[in-house]
Order: sequence, then structure tokens, then C-alpha cells
Amino acid sequence: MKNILVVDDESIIALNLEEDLKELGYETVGIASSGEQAIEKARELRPDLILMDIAMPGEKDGIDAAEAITAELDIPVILLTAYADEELIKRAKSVKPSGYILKPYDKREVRAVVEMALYKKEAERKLQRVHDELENRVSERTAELTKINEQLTYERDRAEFLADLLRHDINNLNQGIFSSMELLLVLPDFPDQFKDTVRTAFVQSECITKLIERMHILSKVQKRGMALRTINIVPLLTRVIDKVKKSCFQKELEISYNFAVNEITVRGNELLEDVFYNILENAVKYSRRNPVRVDVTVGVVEDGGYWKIEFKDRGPGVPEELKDTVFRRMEHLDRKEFATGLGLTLVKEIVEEFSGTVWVEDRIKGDWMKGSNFIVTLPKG
Amino acid sequence: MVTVFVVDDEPVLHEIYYRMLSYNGDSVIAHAYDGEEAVNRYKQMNPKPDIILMDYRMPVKNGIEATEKILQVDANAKIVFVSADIAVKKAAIATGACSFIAKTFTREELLTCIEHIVQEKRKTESEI
Repeated sequence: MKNILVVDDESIIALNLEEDLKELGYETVGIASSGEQAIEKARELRPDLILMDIAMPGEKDGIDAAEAITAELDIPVILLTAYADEELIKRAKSVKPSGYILKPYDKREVRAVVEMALYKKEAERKLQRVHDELENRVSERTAELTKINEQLTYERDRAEFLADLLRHDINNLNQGIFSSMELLLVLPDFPDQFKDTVRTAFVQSECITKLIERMHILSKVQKRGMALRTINIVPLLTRVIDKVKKSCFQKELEISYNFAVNEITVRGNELLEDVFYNILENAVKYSRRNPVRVDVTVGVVEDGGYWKIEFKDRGPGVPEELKDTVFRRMEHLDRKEFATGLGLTLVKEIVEEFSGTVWVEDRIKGDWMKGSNFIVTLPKG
Repeated sequence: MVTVFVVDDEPVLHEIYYRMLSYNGDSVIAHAYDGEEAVNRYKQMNPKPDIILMDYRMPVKNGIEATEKILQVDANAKIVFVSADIAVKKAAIATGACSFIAKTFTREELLTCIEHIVQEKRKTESEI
């Protein structure tokens, strides 16, 4: 049963209206005879609907009262009037009443307008509830995600902090080992028969330094979003070849390279040097022949958008089943023969970050034992 | 002979520096294990060392802060940064360090760097 508040300054009309509403099956909660009183009673009685005349004496007419009630209370208001001039209708419209009835009214019309207003209000409320519930769920979910995000940031910062600490401390410890070995080797009376043993330890210590450095670079790559620029790889490759020659001075190296032009540009950054260095150093390190021969060539990929840099070695080669895994750190830990430390993992990470690709083929197709061909493609700069 | 003041929180490295330098005929004349100790010790030293070998990551005061304070006391102090934190190289040089050596360094790197700085220093002194 819906409760209705009737508002009209003419008590006879109000009473009639009340009577008609009752006949139509509604309950009335009372009658108000002015705008001010309507607001008060609405607050006090909280009816489901208000039927209100527009023209009333006092400071507030029906339109003013409807405006105040709509703003303060969630109660639909239907306006009643004997006059229907343009100006009044315009004012009435502006307070968004739930309905409008012209006097003299027809009972059936009252019923239709009242039913429509009540139905509309109910629908609005339902919609509001769904909306509120959705909003609640969204904010709950957002809060959850924020929490997860904070947790992730915390974990990441912590991992970075620990990695940094580890790098720093291992470097310090390694410095002690490295320098001690170095000192032993320069002592004039250090027995020759132990020198090789010390050299082995010395080389291992150097490997620790390299490993730490590579891990550091790898962590930078994994942070993503690196800035790229145009890089000329001709001087870069020349420099890397020099560097490898210097660091692998124990071996005789024949690294041939032939670049048709002086400027071959790709998109990348300073980590590109690590890419070329790691591939080349790897090729040299695993080669058991002396002299070590590596051919470096640069060509264009068929579709034209990429440069293709090839490093052909005559090392032990990579068997078919390992051609993918050499680039993946975790899968060949137990295979000493092909263990490359973090070198090739690093290469792949960096190249992919530059939107390029890297893979290995046989230097002579079908005969992997004749050496490998490491191929890098990079977008033209 | 070059006189050296070693500042590093890692005792083993003091030992290493001592051996490397004394073997080369140079001398470690003082030790400090954190930045603050380095500043205090430097103030008291007389004569001052030719070179200060300065670590970065240390308790109380880091190498940059210590360098700043030491240069306030003695603008002519020759400070060589030796650190695994390559990222602080720029800051170290901007603060007034003469040189930066990255750990892991070789004996040759260290000795060449020291020799170079000492030669420069003596050249300037003789010109004055």
C-alpha cells in the first residue's frame, strides 16, 4: 500500500482528492495547505508520493516546494494546476516533477499518473541499488589491486635492493681474491710449478666479475622501457672485435669482417655492444682450434626493414636439439660443454628489447660439427 | 715513494692495498673504515698523504660525503674513488675526486692511476 501526501490550500479540493485516492486504493498520510507545510510534512511523514497544487498562498508555491523536496528527500512529486500557461509549465518542468495533472482532473488520469510516477521511482531506486553495488565492487576490487600492486612494488624493490647488495659485496670479496692471485703471480720467488694453478683461480675470479656485470645489465634490460636511438654499428663492431682480441690474448684470432659501407644504422642503445661482445667472445672462447677464425658479415634481411649481422665460427657447433636452449639460461645448466654463463641469455633479452631476433644455425647447413652461425637481425635505424 | 691513506669498510681490502702498494715501494700510512673516521683522521694527519683511496658505500658517511668534507679541509687533497658502484662515478668526479677506479680493478690499473696523479701533483708543486 502506497502512502500519499496531498497538498492544496483549498481544503474542499484536498479532501476530495484524498477521497478519490482512497477509492483508487491508495493510503493518504495527511494533507498540507501550503508549500512550507508540505516540506515539513514530507520530512516528518516520508510519504511514497506527493500530489501538490501549484497555486498556493505563502512564500513557497507548489513548484518551489517540489524543488525543495526533490533536492532534500527522495520522494516523487506530481504537480496539479488549473492553469496551463506556457510560463508556468516551463517553471514546473524545471523542477522535474514526476507528473503533471490538469484540474479539473479525471480519476483515471490521476491513477495513471500516480502509477507511472511510483513505477518510475521504483525503477530508479533499483537502478541506483545496482549502480551502488557495482561501484562498491569496483572500489573493493580497486583496493585489492592497489594492495597487490603495493606488494609487488615492495617485492621488486626488495629484490633490487638485495641484488644490489649482493653485487656490491661479491665484487668486494672478489677483489680480495683477484688481487691476491695477481700478487702471487708477480712475486719474484713464487714457484713456477704453482703458477698455472694460480692462473686458473685468477681466470675464475675474472669470470665472477663478468657474471656479476652481466647480471646487472640483465636486470636493467628486464626493467623494460629502455630509450632507443640510432646507432652506427660499423665503428661499434670494429671496437668490439678489438676488445675481444684484447681480452682473449691467449688465443690467436683471425676475425674477418667486411662492411660494404661505413654507415650501417640500427635502433638500439649502449647495450648493443654487450650483444656483439658476448656472441663474439663466446665464439672465441669455445673454439679449440688455433688460430680461431670468425667471419663477421652484415647484410639486409629480405623484407628490407632489418639488418642481418652474422658471426660464423669454426667452434664445436651447436647440435640441433640445443639450438634454442643455448639462449635459455636455466635449461643447460648441467651441460658444461655448452654452458655460456649468462652471455647468450643476455644477448637474447637485449636483442628482443630492440625488436630484433637472434638465433643460431650451422655454419655449413646440416653439419653442426663444422661450427655455428649466430645471426642477429635488428630494425634499421 | 708514494704515501697512501686507505678508506674502505672492508678490512681485507686494506690488507690488499697494503700488499700491492708496499710491493711497489709505496706506503700505506693510515687507515679508516668509514667516511667520518676518514675525515677526522685526515684532519689530524701531518704530513698529509699523497693519495687517498676512497670507497663509496661505507657506514656513517659515504665516500662522497667524506670527499666533500676532506676537500673543505684541504682543497689540494688527491682523492681516488675505488668502488663497485659505477653509477656514482659522475658524482664522485663532480665532488672533486681526481679519478674513479671500478672494482674489480687490476694491480696495474691502480698503480698507473696513482703514479699518474702523483706525477701531476709534483709537477704542479715544482712549478709553484
